Amino acid sequence: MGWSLFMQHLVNAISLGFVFGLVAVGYALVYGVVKLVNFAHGDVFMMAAYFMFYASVLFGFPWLAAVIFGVVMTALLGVGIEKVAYRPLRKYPRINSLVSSIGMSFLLQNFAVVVFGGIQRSFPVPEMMRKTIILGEVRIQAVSIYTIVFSILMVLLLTFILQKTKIGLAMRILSTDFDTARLMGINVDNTISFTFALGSALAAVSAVFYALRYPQIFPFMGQYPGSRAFIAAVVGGIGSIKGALIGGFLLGMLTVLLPAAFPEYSGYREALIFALLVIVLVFKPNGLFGQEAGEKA
Amino acid sequence: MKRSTRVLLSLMLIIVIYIFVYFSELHMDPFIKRILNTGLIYAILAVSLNLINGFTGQFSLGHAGFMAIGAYTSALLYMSPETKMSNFFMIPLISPLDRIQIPFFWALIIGGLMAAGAGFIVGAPCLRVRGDYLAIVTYGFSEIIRSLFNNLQNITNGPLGLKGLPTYTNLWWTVSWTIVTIIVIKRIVDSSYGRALKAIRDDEVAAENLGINLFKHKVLAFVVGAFFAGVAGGLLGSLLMTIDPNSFSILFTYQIIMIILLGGLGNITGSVVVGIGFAFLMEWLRFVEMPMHIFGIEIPGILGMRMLIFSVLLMLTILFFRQGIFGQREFSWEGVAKLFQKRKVKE
Amino acid sequence: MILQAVEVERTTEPNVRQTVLKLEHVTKKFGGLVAVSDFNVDLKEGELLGLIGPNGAGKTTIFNLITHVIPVTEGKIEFYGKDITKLSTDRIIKLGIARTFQNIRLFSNMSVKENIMTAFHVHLKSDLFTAVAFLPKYREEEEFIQQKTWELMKEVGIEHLADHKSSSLPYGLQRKLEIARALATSPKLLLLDEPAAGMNPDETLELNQLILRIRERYKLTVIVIEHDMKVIMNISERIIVLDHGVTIAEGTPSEIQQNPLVIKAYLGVGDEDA
Ligand SMILES: Nc1ncnc2c1ncn2[C@@H]1O[C@H](COP(=O)(O)OP(=O)(O)O)[C@@H](O)[C@H]1O
Ligand SMILES: [Mg+2]
Repeated sequence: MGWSLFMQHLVNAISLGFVFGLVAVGYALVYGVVKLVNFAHGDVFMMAAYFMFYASVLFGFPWLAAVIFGVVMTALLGVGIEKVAYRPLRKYPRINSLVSSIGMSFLLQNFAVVVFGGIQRSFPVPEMMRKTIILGEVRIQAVSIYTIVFSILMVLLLTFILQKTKIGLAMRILSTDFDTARLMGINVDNTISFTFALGSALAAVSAVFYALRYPQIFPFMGQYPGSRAFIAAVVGGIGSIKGALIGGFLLGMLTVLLPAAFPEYSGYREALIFALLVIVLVFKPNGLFGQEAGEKA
Repeated sequence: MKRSTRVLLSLMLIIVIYIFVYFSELHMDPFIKRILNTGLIYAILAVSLNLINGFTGQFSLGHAGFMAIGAYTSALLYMSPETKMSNFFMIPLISPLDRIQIPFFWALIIGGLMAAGAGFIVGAPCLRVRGDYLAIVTYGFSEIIRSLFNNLQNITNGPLGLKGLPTYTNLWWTVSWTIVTIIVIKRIVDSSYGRALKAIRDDEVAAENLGINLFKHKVLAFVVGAFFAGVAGGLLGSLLMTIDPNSFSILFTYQIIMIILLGGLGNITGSVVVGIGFAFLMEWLRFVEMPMHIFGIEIPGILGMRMLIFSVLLMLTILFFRQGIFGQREFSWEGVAKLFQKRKVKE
Repeated sequence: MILQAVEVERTTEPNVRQTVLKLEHVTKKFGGLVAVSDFNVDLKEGELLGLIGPNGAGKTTIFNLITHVIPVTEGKIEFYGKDITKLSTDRIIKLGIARTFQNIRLFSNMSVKENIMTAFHVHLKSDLFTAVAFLPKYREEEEFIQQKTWELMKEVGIEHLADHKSSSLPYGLQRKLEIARALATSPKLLLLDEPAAGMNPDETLELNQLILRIRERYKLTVIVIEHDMKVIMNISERIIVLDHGVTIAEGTPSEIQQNPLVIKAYLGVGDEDA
């Protein structure tokens, strides 16, 4: 592989890594606060793409307005899902909520097939995102650069919310101890709702960049990036924001660079990535970058 | 009621069932027969997954993977060399699989044993991984299987799958395997081993502090569960006459999970009844995807409606029927006897 | 044989008796917290040791270390001269140690009877096939288990509740069921973690009698944890007092009662423990 080709792949990998990373943060936020592996997160991502598609194509919103509309709707959807599907199960064993999230994922996909149709639709891509930037021998898609820049902005915004705002503080306390949080007068329900809103909004933002890169949207489009991001979150140490981002990067690299380096084995990529997931869970269950948890019993 | 009475009654029931099978094979509508076969295979899958998820409390999402292993192993063993040849036209099947052909029964058994081996490998991490983490590990395993089967072209024929499998599966096979599955698993859960499994489900630390080897018993549940899943996979392959790696996706596991949830976790009767009922329900639901005529107006069928209804049902079960439709109520001869006694009193 | 008692030559001279359990320099750290610090004990056959100390003193942790629910940080644990420090929990139980839990841990979806029957599994000789095929060997064992379970239920006085769900029992009976369940593993050493917690004085008295009775009948060596020392003053021969993981006193009940360090430790905690 030549240097210029490598650079192209690298930029590609980084931007894809950010997409995975932002979705992974959604898993991490929710896991951190309610200890739920939200299997429906990838499908919330899919719904975001459709919200934007309909706002733009059907209702003729300007592109940016459509995106903002999509982000808001997705955040509301996330809150709604939590209210309907997870909140009533909070007092039951965790596995109930896990099954519920699997059911929710199923429901969203089938809802999309029936309501939006099973066929692929073209996501609107603005002119400026279609450009290819040429630096000497290196050709980079403009959308990759936009992805990286906006993702960094999102991460900064997220850090600000978590570190500097009251609701962010509430989230952090809730993630360490439910009972303490209640004692301290934190409104648990609102904080959890906000967590879902935030995670879903991040999924919506990454859906924009994902759809700009692969502009065909369809009801099952959330599965692939969803499972990638999910693996990223687990490998990075589920519950940890930093881990999710690093995991996203790792997955972006593996996804792009592995087949580029070993094209003859590209078919085994899936098996390899899932094997990574299993190995990390078995031998380092707190993730490669997560902190040690307490001992059993 | 004495044990010998119960055994006798059960034997009589089995004979009645086989008489039913005899007449069904002769006279039943092939379409209904096919659904019934599918339902019985669901029942085997549900009862075996119930051993892992319901009785032992180890939340596994790996059942589709075990099925895939059983389906492929047995198909490659019972297919004729000619059919194999016509399937593997891109890359030839490795030797000696391309020449072997063995009877259906032994193919199923070997398929089950291969799945049981996989069950051992998947169950082993149980020692270190618990709860939702275990669910993820087993999900990862089932995806790895799917991906490998998509790629190992000289064994599985890759994404093209296997076609033209001979139809050996009939009610004799499915009914017999369902009975075997029920008896074996019922006997396990009612034995001292079963008490150990239920103890692990209720409280691992307490179980361990009573000298129960967690690893051994969890793996036991996985191995036995996977064996029957493998057999069910073999039966399904021969019923559908075609298999491909992507038909054994996580979606299939979700369906089985829905069946055991509806039937009640740890309830064998529920798994069987809902398993068979589920096959009929899914078939019946096809009408929603067909054009309908109401008062002379034609409403076009909506594609995907069936799965949407299915997922709504799934969510309703999860949210409102946490105990399933049957709860903890199991079929028992004592229960039947009581039913009759009540009737008599009323008369 | 299940429930076979160890035949012991009991002499009146305690130091001639065999050592059952020996903990040497046992220390447990949870991160920065030293939950148990350099704990030593040499327990003779048939002895009844009281382990007392305020909440958080490290008493339960010692039980968790003995049955290897958690690993020791430092030190050595011996059972009848065998080093069990690194053995897995189930192996340790098989050797003859049984315990109850401070926050009762019954199998809540099982009946009272099943809870006890489960505990016989550890000594089951039939393999899975024998059990599933219901061969005579397993049938015999199952019958034996049924009968012994019945005896144990009678022993603690819950035989009338055999088919009730264990979680439906009142608190005091749940504790007794837990003791019966522990006995079903035919232990030589029984570890009881606050068995009288939540009981009224009458119930406590009755429980103490139960403990003494089963010690005699099954030839047990017993360690009882209490944080209210009055409860076990009457039944234990020797008492060890822990505070913040440190052994602050050891001796006969009357020695302990007069020990100024013990009085201080208890006063420091406040009245609610007294
Ligand atoms: N698994 C654990 N992880 C971390 N800290 C623990 C654990 N178990 C006990 N501790 C701590 O060790 C100390 C002793 O606890 P414990 O042995 O339960 O006290 P008690 O004497 O009341 O039974 C306490 O401060 C407790 O918080
Ligand atoms: Mg304690």
